[in-house]
Amino acid sequence: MRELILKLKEKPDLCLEVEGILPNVIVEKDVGEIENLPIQYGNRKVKLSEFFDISVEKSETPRVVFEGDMSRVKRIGWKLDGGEIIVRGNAGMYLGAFMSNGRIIVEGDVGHFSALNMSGGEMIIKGNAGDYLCASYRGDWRGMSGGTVIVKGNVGKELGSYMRGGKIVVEGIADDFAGVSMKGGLMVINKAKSRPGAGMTAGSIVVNDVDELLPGFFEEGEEENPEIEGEKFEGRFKVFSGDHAERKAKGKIYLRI
Amino acid sequence: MKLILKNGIVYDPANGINGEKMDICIKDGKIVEKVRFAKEIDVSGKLVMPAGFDIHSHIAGGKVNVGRLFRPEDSLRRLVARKNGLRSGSGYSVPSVHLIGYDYARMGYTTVITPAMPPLLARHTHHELNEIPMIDKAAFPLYDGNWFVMKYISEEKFDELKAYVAWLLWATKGYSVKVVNPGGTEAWGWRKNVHDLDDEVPYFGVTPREIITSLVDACNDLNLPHSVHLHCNCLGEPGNYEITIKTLQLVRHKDFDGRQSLYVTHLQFHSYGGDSWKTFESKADEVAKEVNKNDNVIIDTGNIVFGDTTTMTADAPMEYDLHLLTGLKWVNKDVELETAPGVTPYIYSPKVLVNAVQWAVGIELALLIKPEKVILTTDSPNGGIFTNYPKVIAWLMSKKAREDMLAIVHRSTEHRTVLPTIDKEYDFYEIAMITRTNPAKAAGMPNKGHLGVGADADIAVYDINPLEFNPKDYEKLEKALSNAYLTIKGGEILVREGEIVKVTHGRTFWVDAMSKVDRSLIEKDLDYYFKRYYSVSLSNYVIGENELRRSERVCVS
Ligand SMILES: [Zn+2]
Repeated sequence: MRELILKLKEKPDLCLEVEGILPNVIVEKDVGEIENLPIQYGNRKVKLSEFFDISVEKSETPRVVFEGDMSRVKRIGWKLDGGEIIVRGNAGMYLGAFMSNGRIIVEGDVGHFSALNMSGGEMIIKGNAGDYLCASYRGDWRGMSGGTVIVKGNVGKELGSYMRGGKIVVEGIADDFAGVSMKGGLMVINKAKSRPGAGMTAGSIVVNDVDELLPGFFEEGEEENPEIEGEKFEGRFKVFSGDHAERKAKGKIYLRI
Repeated sequence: MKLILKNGIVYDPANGINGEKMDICIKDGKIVEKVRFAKEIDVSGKLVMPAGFDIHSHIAGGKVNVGRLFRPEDSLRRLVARKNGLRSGSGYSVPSVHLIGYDYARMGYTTVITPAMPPLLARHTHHELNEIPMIDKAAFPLYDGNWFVMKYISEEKFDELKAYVAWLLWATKGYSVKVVNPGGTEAWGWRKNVHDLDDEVPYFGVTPREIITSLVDACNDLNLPHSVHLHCNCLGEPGNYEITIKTLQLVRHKDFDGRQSLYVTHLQFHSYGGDSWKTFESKADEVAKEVNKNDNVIIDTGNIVFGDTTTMTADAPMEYDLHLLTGLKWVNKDVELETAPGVTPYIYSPKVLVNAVQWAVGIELALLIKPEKVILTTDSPNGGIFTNYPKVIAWLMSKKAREDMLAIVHRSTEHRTVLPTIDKEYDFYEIAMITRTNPAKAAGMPNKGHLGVGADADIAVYDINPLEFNPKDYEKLEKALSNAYLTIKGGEILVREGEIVKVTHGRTFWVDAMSKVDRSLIEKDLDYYFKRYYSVSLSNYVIGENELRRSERVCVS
């Protein structure tokens, strides 16, 4: 197996889009072929080698490593279906969007719409994430359905909107409307700002602290060491059901006390 | 340009040609008897028919655009890059403007009518139609919830009604009278609907029965090329077959010298029995019986195809009910004084019994009604996007195709329908009828839908030998019909072996019946309504003929 190292030569003026540069796609190709792979630069197609220095190393799993500040590089790991992608730096928008398998690790921050409509695999973000992390694609009512995303830092608005399954862990602060219209899955957030779970009908949100809960959530009592979405949690929680602004809402918010 | 198509197997029901090996001669965009020094194309062993004619497909206008705007996820599902001089585009169930033209041409269709144009949005509709390449087109303005129409009917002013019908066609550059859930869309403005032919519309006091029959008579008196194009009341409701049959019976005795007096659209959505979703069943056989008995009526099927689509109708209360049922997003539009459309996504699933029954009903209707009264549609995109026609044709032509689907759908389907007991398989002659001859005839376009001398040289050639076709090979059929070997329009080759080789812009047909009426009868009312109620002035409302890219004015004699 091999590992492909892509070192960004310089931060591009326009955004690059690197959809298609996936471990399973490049693993059998020779360096010449890889250099010629097409990527999008603004409105034209360019060769991968125009913006990246490419080197290959041995590795146990097929892997692509991006080195440098990729905040202007979009669609890293778009539709990833296996293997590993590591970003040593920040990543741009749509990181790991529609991924179904494999793993993405980012050392820095990631842009908006990352892990969009994710259906499987794993993503670890060591910095912060933008808005719409793990959200559904614009307009879609069928959002994230599987996989795990862990964020060490903070995340933007509308985390996991229309989420149906899978798990999201935010160790920092989630901005407004985390879990909006959620229909399943588990979200574990250290601190949520306003109105988490707005319009949610199923699934669970576990929070240590929250700025403001919507009136559509009814207090159901307290639980000690509860099991939530098949997972054990330690401590005491205040349990809310909701969002009762919706019909037949069975969502849960667990607030640590 | 002169052209001869040599040795094709030709199906042209309007001229009684049933699978004959013959040449078709083309000169100056028309079919001619003979032509000399013409370019020859050998199409021996291939299926040759008049080009397809879609009389009911939502391709332009307010709600189509709303469908695009509020379904970005549908756009994502199909992305088409710019290629070979063709424009880029996107959209699966609501394709963007240019893709619509390309897709129809690839299927061998060259005429399409968009069947529900809110008059107030006519300008937008025509601007969109102008940009749809490849096809000839027309639009039916909506008359159902129109205040003028209801006022003249309630005051029994028939001459004024006729004058208004003609005036609105002229003002909107429309082709015929579309009526959707008559009375229901106005009642919806009062948070109500109508459920019977004799339910009264609030304020105006008129009934669906009065609206339908008055407009049917008006169309006939004006000698319009197409009759009233009716979307019946109670669309999609269990047990609605009764009101559908009653509606069909309204014109049983309206014999207009052999002309159809009523066109009933997407009959599939109106042929249900049962009194709830639990007892939902097919009543296609009952409805088919009435249609077969009734010489004055012609119908289109409105087949459904399994998958994700976007429903859009001028039947706003129905769209609201559908949204309540699915819980999916929904858009309502109110078009002042005229109508009220709605849009919501829908997923037809073979495992959902109601959907499986709907699928069966559409096919049953096509199989049980005499082919000369059937027109094939999916009410695109309501029952499924039009690119699914080859799939529907396969179900009609191949019992095996139906059986293969019956094996997948909810297993109670066979108890709720009669589909498994029907052995009929369409032949190519009958397919040509329901996709070419009948729609062109019903629309009243004498130069379309046939290959007789003088007809527009709109021809489709498919790479399949109809004389050797085995219904069990239905997948081959689907493939051949999806990618025309040749699509010829006005004598020009637009598609070759499934690829578009030339982009053209067709004509927009509209009907001018102003010579038959006295406009002064309604002048005062127009003035009053526009000053008092409309948000636009009368002069800005009227579409100029110069606003159509290629206007084809059809004068009524
Ligand atoms: Zn329709």
